[in-house]
Amino acid sequence: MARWRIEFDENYRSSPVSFWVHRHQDNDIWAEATRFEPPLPQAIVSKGYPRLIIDAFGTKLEFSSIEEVEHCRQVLSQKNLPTSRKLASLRQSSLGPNSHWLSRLPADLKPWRKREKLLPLLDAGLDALKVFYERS
Amino acid sequence: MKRSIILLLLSLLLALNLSMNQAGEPEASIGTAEMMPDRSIVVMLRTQSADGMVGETRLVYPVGSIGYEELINHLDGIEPSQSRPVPLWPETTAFPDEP
Repeated sequence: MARWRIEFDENYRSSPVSFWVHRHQDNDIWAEATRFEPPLPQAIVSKGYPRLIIDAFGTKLEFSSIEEVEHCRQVLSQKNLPTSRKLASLRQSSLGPNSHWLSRLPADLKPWRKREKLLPLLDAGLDALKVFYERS
Repeated sequence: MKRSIILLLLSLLLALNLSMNQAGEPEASIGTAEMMPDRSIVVMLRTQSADGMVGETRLVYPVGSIGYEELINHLDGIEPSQSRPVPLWPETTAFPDEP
């Protein structure tokens, strides 16, 4: 069954996509940086940091910010997927394409017929995330 | 002043289209609430679209948090280790806009 879920964490938790979306600005090590572009998400008052979890045909995809979902959606909605090498080079970091989230995405999710079923799930989860931020 | 977290949840459900039963009417319950031994309340809200897509949101209300008392009243009371369905809020049939 197609399913998305939002959970809240007391502390910020990065996802496999975070590094590729939120560029660190003030430290060579991502996990030790304090400034990011776009900025890391803020906590929602009294609830914490929301995480979107998508059950994509048995594979769990996690996102820690709106920007991450939007980025993945933008990539996955291209009928001809870009290569991990190309996406990794755009990030201009020391990490190679094998570390990129698209490279780690299970192969059976990459055919267009699967991705076109995944996109509505991403959209629904993204809408829910946005509502939490807009109404808080 | 921040809006009640409960109104936020209702907004969420409305944004995602309220769960519908097979007759196309809104479900009477929008999820379940369980009170933990420390009296915090764990709410699991669930919505399902017409094409079967399921969305869930898990929220924890510690004692004294925003919306905690309102939630207990809405559940018509709840005690530790009890679990209850979360009924629709009456106003969701004509959902209020931002105050």
